[in-house]
Amino acid sequence: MRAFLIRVGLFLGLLAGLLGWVAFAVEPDAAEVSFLSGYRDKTTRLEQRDRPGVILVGGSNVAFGFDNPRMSRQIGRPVINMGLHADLGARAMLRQIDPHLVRGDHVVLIFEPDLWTGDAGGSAALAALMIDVDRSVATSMTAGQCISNFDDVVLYLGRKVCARVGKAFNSLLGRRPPPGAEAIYRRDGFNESGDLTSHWDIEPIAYVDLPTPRSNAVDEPTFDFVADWVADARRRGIDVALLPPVMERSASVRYQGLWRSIESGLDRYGLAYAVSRDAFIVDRSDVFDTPYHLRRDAVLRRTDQVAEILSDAE
Amino acid sequence: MLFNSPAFAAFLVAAFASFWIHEWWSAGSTGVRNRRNLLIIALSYVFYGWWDVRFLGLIVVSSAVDFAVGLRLEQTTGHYWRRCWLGLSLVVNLGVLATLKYFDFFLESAAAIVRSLGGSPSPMSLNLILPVGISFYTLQTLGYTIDVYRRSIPASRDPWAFFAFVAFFPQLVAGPIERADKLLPQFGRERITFREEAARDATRLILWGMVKKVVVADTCGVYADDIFGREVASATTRILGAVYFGFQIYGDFSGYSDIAIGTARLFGFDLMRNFDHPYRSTSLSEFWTRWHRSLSFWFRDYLYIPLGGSRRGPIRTLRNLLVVFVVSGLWHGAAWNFVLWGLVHGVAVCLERLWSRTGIPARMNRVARTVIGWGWTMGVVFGCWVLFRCGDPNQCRRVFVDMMSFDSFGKPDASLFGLLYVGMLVAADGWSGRAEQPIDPKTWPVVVRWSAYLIAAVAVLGHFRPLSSFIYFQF
Repeated sequence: MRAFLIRVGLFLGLLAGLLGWVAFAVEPDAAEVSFLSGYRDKTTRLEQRDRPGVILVGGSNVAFGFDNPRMSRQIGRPVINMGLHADLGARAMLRQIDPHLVRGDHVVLIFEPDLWTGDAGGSAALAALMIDVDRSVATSMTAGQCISNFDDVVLYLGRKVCARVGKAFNSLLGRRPPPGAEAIYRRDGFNESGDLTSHWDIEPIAYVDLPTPRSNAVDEPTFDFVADWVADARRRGIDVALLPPVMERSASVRYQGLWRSIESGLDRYGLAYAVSRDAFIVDRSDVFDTPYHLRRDAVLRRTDQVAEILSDAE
Repeated sequence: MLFNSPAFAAFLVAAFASFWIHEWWSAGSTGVRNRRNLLIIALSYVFYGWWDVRFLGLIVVSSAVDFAVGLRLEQTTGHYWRRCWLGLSLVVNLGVLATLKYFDFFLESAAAIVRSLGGSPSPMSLNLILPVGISFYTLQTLGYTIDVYRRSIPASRDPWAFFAFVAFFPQLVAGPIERADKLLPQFGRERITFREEAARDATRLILWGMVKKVVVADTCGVYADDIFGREVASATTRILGAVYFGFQIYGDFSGYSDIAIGTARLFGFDLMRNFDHPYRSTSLSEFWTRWHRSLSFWFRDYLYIPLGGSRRGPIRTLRNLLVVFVVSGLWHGAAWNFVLWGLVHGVAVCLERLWSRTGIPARMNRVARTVIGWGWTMGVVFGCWVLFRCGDPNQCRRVFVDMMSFDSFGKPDASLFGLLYVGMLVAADGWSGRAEQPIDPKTWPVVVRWSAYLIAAVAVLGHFRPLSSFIYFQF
């Protein structure tokens, strides 16, 4: 038994060593983490601003969904787009902005449904962020959160190795990745306000629809965490509003049950959307490559819509 | 709890530790067997209850009924009463299975017949959830009762051993469907010693099973889903889709079986080998002795032979074969595509029998016979996988029409990258000869061997897809 356990331990040790080396010594594939690299730029932007403003928080529905220079002109305040990837989860998003908020800020939370179901937040995106973009994300986590993300980190490192091998294999065969994806999801695709604008003048290479939700259950601890955070922010003199995300009409129909659960969850925790969800349901012609990502014309319309809501609120 | 989930990894570590600590702690004391079996039952129920704790009741009922029936069968001498006891076991086990798995199917089929005759039946269905693994453990417990009825084995007098035999977690949800005479005595051992070589072999088998499932099957599944999801495709694209699905289901199910066998071996239990390089078969009869062997042998021993087997003339033999294959199709799923899948296999096996009776194959050159036999076998097997994969008859028809459109042969309009994974599996299978895993520890230098293990582990991590279930769990 002892010899067997030593062998297994040795194997796991070698595997951990290999993955550790991959984590610390192997540079990530730029194309893989380029989009997530926007995280650091967005944090820096938030940190270095000189006066309070409007901060939009959420996943890619926020990243792909605004023209903030335009909104800024309309409401007369600086607007920063912190949207990046829904898979980062609500906790990571709020942890990112929290230390840099100041009295007088107006935070607008525009969370995709996944952020309320607990599906997001323990994900490859978060693992990629922790390992290859900003290691301080990991240091700000509690031990429990580190443990719950452990498997994603291990799997991400495995994927990183395989991606490297795949890339070497492809270059050996002279194969190239399909054009298009890298042209949009990249660090310099964001403008100076954090809006992703690289897709404004091009056609998508594919449309990825949302699957029907596996269940309509929501994640109570996420509601609890967000409600606590909102209460704390308000105590510090920061305005917080919740808006529904934009969503393509047919996907929205499939999500109806989940939406009802989310809205009743928000009710239970004393939170509510500032406007009806219907206000942000859009047509198929308005979206780019997923039901959350808007084309340029729809971006401008939504920007005006949100600017009006914020002006009314203030 | 899926074998390919972090939860199972944690469960396996906890189960392994608790099992062997118990063995070490209890060495030489009395009652060790009962405590061990209780521990196995508890672990197995946790494993199963992870999906849905409500269905544990069914396993308990099935175990209790068959344990009691086994004892009664042994004590009863009258033929009539013995048949009654056997009937009770059949009614309870098959009744539960029929209700949960087939009731809606038969109701819908009956309604369709009534509709085709001009009637308008009101829509009715129970919409029951199919408990995972029920088709597998039902056959296993039924096999025990029939064996006791035939007096091939004595009835178990140890309830804990019997309950552990029914619920043993490595093979509870998707087999191998074990025989009572092989597995049940293993729960009756007073002492289980840890075998170093067996444990090493087990971990290698688990790793190899994971490679088959996570690396090969799940990757082939992505390509198969893409091709099967298309409205229109060329003949070669459809054929490529069938190949991808054939290797998806092989990697998926044989990978599961390897993990199950390896897991059981870690606890000192031996399970039967469920796959033996099926795609090397040069006849369909051979294929069914290499693919899902535990099910094939179950149907042979408990259905084909009781029907008369091949002893009552060629016509009865062909009828028996057809019955077995149709029932096997229906066992796989309550849908007409599975029935058709079984029927086509049955007809093809019958044709093969008739062909062999002509004496022509025996007179053929060995190489030609092998090549023709392999081509025929793979043609039928992969063609039938289309029936297995398509739940919708219209989709099935569409795929077959595309496959038969001889004017659209050419380069497939789909990624050939998945063939790399297929090739790796074929090469590993070829490398391994008839062994159950490709890496033979006795012949590989240690550095090469450990490098291979590390590469395999990283490949599994790199290809892992959360929530990827096993295909056979739905049966």
